[in-house]
Amino acid sequence: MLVLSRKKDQSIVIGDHIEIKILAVEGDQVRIGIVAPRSVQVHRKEVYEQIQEENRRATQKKPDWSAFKQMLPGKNGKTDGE
Amino acid sequence: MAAPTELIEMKVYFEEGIPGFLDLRFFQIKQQEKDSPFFLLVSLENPSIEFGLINPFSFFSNYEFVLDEELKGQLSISEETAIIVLNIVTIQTGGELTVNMMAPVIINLDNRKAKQIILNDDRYPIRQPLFNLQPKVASE
Repeated sequence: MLVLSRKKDQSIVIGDHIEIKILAVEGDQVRIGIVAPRSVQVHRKEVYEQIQEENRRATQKKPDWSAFKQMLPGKNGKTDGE
Repeated sequence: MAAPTELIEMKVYFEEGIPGFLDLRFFQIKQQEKDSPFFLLVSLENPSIEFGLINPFSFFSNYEFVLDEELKGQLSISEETAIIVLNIVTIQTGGELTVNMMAPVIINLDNRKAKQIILNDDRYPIRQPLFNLQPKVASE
């Protein structure tokens, strides 16, 4: 891992198209600005990990949809309002 | 973007896999019956991997988000493209069913390309309660 020290308002540049800027440092929190092409997906790591984990959990037990038909919110599965 | 009217049952291709299962690309999507909001998504490479999904608009009429241009490009979605949005359901340990509203699955029904996207929207949690396996009161 490359380790760099940066101060507020300083940036690092990754490749030609990605810039990461330190916007503010407050206690143990750092605000980071990211400039990247739209094709580069940027997520908080914990969010991506939560999605992975939930997907894995979702495969543990298979829902038996035939048992849920009577729980539809309305005819043809459409709700009005709410 | 048109809404499908026939029973949906087809092979779909996740070019980037699904988070947690990045090596699985080919799946079969199957609607429980015509007009049903219930779907199953089964891996063709590992049939033990199977997801239950719902059409979110049948349960959460206010659910909305914008497909960004990058995604439209990846899945070749235009105004005329037939697509569906589905959300993966998890049966939690206590028997409660929750829906992953934060990460909907988008399927282009015309070219069968699919992707699970992650919304940056605080309104949509990973575990939105859907219903419990032992409901207290029937809603209708």
